[in-house]
Amino acid sequence: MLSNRIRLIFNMTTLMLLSFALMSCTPENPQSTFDAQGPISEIQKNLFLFTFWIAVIVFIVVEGAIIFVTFKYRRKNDDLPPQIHGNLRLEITWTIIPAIIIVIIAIPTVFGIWETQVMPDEEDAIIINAVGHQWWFEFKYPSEEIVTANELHLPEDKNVIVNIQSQDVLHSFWIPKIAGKVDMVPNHENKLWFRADNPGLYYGQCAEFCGIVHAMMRFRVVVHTEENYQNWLEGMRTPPKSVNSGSDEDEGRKLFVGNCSMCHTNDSYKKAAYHKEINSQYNRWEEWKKDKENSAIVSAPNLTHFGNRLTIASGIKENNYENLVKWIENPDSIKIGTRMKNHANIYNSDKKLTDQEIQQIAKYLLSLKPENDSMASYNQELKR
Amino acid sequence: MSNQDVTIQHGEEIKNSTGVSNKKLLMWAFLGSDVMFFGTFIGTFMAYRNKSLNGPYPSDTLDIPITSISTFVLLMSSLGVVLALHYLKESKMVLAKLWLILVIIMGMIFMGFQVYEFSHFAHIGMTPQANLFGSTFFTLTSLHGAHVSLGIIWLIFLLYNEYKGNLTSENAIDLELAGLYWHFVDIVWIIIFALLYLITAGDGVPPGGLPWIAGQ
Amino acid sequence: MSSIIGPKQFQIPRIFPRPMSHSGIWYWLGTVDHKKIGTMYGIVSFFWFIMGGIEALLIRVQLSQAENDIISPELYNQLFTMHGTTMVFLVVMPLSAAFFNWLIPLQIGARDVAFPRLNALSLWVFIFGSILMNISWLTGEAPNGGWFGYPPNSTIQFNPGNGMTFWVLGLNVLGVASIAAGLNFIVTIINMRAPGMTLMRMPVFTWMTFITSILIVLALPILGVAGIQMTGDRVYGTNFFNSEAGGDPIFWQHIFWLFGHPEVYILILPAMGIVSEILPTFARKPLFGYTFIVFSGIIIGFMGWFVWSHHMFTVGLGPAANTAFTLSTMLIAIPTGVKIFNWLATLWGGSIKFTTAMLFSIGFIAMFTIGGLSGVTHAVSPSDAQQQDTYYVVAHFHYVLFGGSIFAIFGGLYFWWPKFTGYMLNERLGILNFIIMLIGFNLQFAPMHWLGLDGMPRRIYTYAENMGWELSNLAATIGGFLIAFSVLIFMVNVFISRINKKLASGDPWDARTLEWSISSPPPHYNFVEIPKVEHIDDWWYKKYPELLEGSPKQTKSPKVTVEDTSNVDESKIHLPDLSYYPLFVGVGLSIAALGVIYSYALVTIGLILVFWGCIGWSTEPVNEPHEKHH
Repeated sequence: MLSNRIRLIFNMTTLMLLSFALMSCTPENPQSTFDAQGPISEIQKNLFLFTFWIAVIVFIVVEGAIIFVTFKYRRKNDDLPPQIHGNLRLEITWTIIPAIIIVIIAIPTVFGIWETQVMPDEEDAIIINAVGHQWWFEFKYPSEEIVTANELHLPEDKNVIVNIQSQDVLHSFWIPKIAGKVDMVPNHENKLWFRADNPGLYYGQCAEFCGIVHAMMRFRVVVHTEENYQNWLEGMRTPPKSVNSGSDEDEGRKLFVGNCSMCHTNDSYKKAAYHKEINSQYNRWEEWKKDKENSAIVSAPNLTHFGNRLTIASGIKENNYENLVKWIENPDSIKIGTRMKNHANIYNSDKKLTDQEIQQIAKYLLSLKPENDSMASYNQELKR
Repeated sequence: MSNQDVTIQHGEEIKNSTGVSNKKLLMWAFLGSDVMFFGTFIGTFMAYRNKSLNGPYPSDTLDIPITSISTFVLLMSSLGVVLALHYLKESKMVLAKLWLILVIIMGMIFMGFQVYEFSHFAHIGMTPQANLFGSTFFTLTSLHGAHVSLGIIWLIFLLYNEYKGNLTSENAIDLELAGLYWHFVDIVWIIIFALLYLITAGDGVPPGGLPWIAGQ
Repeated sequence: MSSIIGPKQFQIPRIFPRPMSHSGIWYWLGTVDHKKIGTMYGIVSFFWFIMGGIEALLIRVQLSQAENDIISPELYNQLFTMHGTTMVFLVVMPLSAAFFNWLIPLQIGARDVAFPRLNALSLWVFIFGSILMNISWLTGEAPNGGWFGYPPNSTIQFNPGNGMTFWVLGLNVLGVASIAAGLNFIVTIINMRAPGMTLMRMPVFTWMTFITSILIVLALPILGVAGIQMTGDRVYGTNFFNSEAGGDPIFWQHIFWLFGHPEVYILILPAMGIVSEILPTFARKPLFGYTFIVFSGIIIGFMGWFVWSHHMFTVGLGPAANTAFTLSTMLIAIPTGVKIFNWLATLWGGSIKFTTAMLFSIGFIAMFTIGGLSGVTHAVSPSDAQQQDTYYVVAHFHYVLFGGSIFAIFGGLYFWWPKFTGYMLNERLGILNFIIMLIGFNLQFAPMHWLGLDGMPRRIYTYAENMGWELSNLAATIGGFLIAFSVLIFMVNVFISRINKKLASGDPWDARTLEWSISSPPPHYNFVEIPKVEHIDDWWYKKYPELLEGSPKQTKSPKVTVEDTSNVDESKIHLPDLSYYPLFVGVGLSIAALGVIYSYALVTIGLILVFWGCIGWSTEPVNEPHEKHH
């Protein structure tokens, strides 16, 4: 009978939905919010699951009632069913019960809001200034006086307070396994706090539509043991390994100075470099604003010790020689619409680079690692 | 209504569920939506108060004595509309026309003051593009001015019909509707005057703003 | 030549004579009959439904595989912007308007709306506004800043070109159409009910239309202001959202969502009204708890103003504001839940016939419940910080807007099709339409809940290979094509049914409200005699007065039948004459808006047309003076 088939379809659909729900937990995926690795994402996950299971009960009640009704009350004959207009007691009951459920959900929620959104003491925390740009993330460590981009290094088990801003349009700072997102708004400073429980590599992504290549604005977070974190800090203050004069790396260094360094700083390991870089980025941005079409300058990611970075193009491709050559040769082949492609002289004038020059720059950049690179083996591990 | 009489007269006084004619109900509902419209612009002005990064600032430009005069004129024009309607309903056509003419003139005087004020502001460098104050001030007052202008055109049209004998005590509701609209526009102006002029005219350079010197 | 000028009425001279004939193109362009206007709203918005659907399919094709490059990011951003804008403003709202137009006068026992020419204006402003917005495709620069247009990304500084300017101007023009319609229906419902139809005897669809109209009239002006401000910024250099001058991007979000949240109730309340008519009809028992359903609609309309910042939980408003909006958002779940239970109770104990309309209505309850529940999880603002801007949100709003509004609209189409056209839609094709749409819809949107919780953000034209998102995206794409197939089935159904023309009686479903007491389609004057209303579901109780006393097992044969129009003396019928002035104003408004982008000459021409149209309209009598006409 037709209505039997219809009921079957209803039931199958419901089952399909339930199975989706059950299949849902794949915490091994890099941006899964079910793999909470810190107290903030843990609170958020638990609040979600609490609400979710209550919702599942409501779902079963309502969808169950629908399925039951389609069986029991299908039209069997011409008899008129009892013409009931309502039942005040029943209606009041099913107004009050949802209200009670709402209160039950609201109480831990309000506690959760205050716990996750009130900043902890600044004295015991690491302070990070994160600035969103089209289409990369800038990270500054004001106390440690370090500037880097697209890769955030943190120690485990320590509170982190991020001061979140944007230089241009709206972006959002999101590391799903560690904490829910906070938007990056120009002229506003938002704050986010979190803690990472375990060392490891975490994925972050911009989560507020920010223009043509919003899809490719991502970053990595490397959480270290305290010891490794100190090593990393130390490394960021150490000059890079020296390069042999006349080598490809040395040629690359000269090319970099001539073609890239007006936008990209790569010597922020020096003393007093921190404030210098802040000024430089500001100046570059003001320059760009004067002529957004044709300016040859724009603020760009800091490339200090780029050799140790895990990814290029803000989390898009693995940082290795082939990818780097492709990126320098034609950024559009990896990430369409970047400011680099639109503004750097090497793409927009006759100052184009030869293949050999590109390779030399790539080799130079990959050589930028601290002199006593104590992070080398750790980085190898992470890349795997 | 019966089989034979299927006429609908729309907008005119007809027997209906509330006793308020369709036209009048429409005007009230429209004014309700216009409240949201002006309310949002006024809200924008207040939200951006003291947030301009450069001048000119309210204290540099707004002139309360002059604007008080135009406000008074607009207020009096509302009284004029009441009188024009009253005399129309009593079929005292000479007085009705006189008062309607006066309302139109007063409305035009108000607009004249606005035009004078705006051109003076532009002359000293306060434009919609200059800063937040300029943007919020000009959009709000210009849209209000547009409402007044449309009202003046409407009233002129009604005056013309009075002269032609088409507007009489029988269809006085048509003037009443224009009167409602006119009163609304007047009330909005009172709010604008109170907030934009009286309350904020003293605002000078806000924290973080650049100082402004006349003539630059 | 110019038309007759009566003794007292001044008319401006006409260049074209007033259309009088009830056939031909000028009839359709000049009609002020709510039924014809409703039909035109329906056809045009269905066309945009297809366009918006194609935009969605292209999105889904691009996302079906990781790191796909079929669609460039530029085109993708335009596609998702236009898909959202189209579905909200050019599909759900005008399809609802199609139903308002057709049904309100019929349900309240009136011969037309309060202002028929204003009604025509709404239609023409909508049609030309929708064309205006979509002309941008032809320039290669469709809007690309999202349907929500957040600055600074949508400002002229970061988004040069005309795309987003088309968007704001289009929205402002469309807003005029909506507000005009809202005003018209408010006056119609308040003032033109048949004698005896108190507010609490109105059909629920009429009630929901009433509340929706009030929301429209109060919320659309807010969007209009945001639009004027953004137009000022983009075209005239004002600073409302210019962060370099101190403008605040968050301010846009506040204004937009103060409009935007009431807007979602504008999108769902009519659907709830439709479902509230269909369920009792095919369950053969009254709507359970009419009073509670009406009052929960009113409460939702009221409370909907206090929740807007739940769209802004991650913007940095602070814990106090987030708490306030969390609580208000949770509260609004209560009246919504009440409706679900009342609808279930309507089915409970009934004698249910699974017509297509009934299937879509039951599907509505099922799907809307899921969307509502995911909405409750959004209200929990800490965990919303994980869900915001991910596919979880996309899942939520598609469950309520597609599984909710669109399902209900399809139900309404199957239910009232005989009334609108005079023939029945094929039920077997209808059931197939429903089943495939149900399966396709769930296949497309259910996986998105998981994708969002797995960290997939929205509005991204591609994603990396190692994220684990491919299978769900592929499933969603297949689901999308199934939906498209089901829509095709609907169109085939319309086509075949038109050919087969299985004629419908005035009351083919043995239904309950006044529109079923007249022929299908109704005569142009709607009712031979304006009914005197004594009850809710008055038609039902006129047919079966025995049900007023008790609950017998069988109804006797109906005491009254559908109105007989054979004896009506049509020469005595005077309905408002046609008018082309609303068309002029509608065309003029969009030309003026286009001129803001291209040239002041166009603005002038457009405004002249608007003024001419308005003055012509206000001096034109409702009926030309004559002895007898048409």
